[in-house]
Amino acid sequence: MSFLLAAIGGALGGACRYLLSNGMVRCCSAGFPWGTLAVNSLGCLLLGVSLGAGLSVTEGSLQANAFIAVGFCGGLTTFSTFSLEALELASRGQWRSFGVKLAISLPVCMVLVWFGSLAGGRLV
Amino acid sequence: MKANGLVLAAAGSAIGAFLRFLVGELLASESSLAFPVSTLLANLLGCLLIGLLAGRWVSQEGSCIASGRWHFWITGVCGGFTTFSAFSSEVLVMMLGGRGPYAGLYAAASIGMGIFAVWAGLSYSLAKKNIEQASEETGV
Repeated sequence: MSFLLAAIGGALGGACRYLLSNGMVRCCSAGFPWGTLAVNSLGCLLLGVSLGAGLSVTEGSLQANAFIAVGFCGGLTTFSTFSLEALELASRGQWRSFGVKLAISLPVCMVLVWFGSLAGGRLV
Repeated sequence: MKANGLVLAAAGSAIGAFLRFLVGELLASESSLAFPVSTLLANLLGCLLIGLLAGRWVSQEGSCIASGRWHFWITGVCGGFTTFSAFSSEVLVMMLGGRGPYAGLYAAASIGMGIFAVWAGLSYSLAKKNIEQASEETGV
């Protein structure tokens, strides 16, 4: 059952990522890949809220965690596209964008998990 | 076409998330380790796959190809299999838990090895494509 919930959550998250990143950037042409940062930020905020609300593996139900944290938040965020885009920026010699992307993505996402967990009720 | 891409990305993402959940369950007994190995494994495998596929399918004008296979495999499967949210929360929890050095190492290893995995996959596919094209041209 949890496997199925992770898949359904993943499908919904992936669909949101597709829509949001397509809306943010029409194409991955020159410039900063904002779409990935947007979906990753949103996914981290949501994960933070759900963890703060007590939906972690240890406290919440396995099913809720599978659907929201593993499925939806995991499906909404992406590490592979993040890495591919970083490599693309480097290969095009856009070192400033490359540096900015590497420097801000993780700190922004960590702050959003932290902020989300406070909003959800309790610090992770 | 638009709706088609959405459905393909969602379907691929369902498979990716399912596989990531599976990796997490299989490695649950390893959770006592200093590193969240299941997230790291999923992210690195996903990075390798996205590199391999992007290298195969990339065209002269760039990697943004609005094809069905791109939506399904790259946006869907690779994107759904890898996660930035679990990665970020794990680094945060490690940091808040007083394991700053481990958090830094985990973060640096994930990002560094992730980009390396994409590069390795991409290089392999591009080299393979060049060899295939060269052998076609010479008629071998």
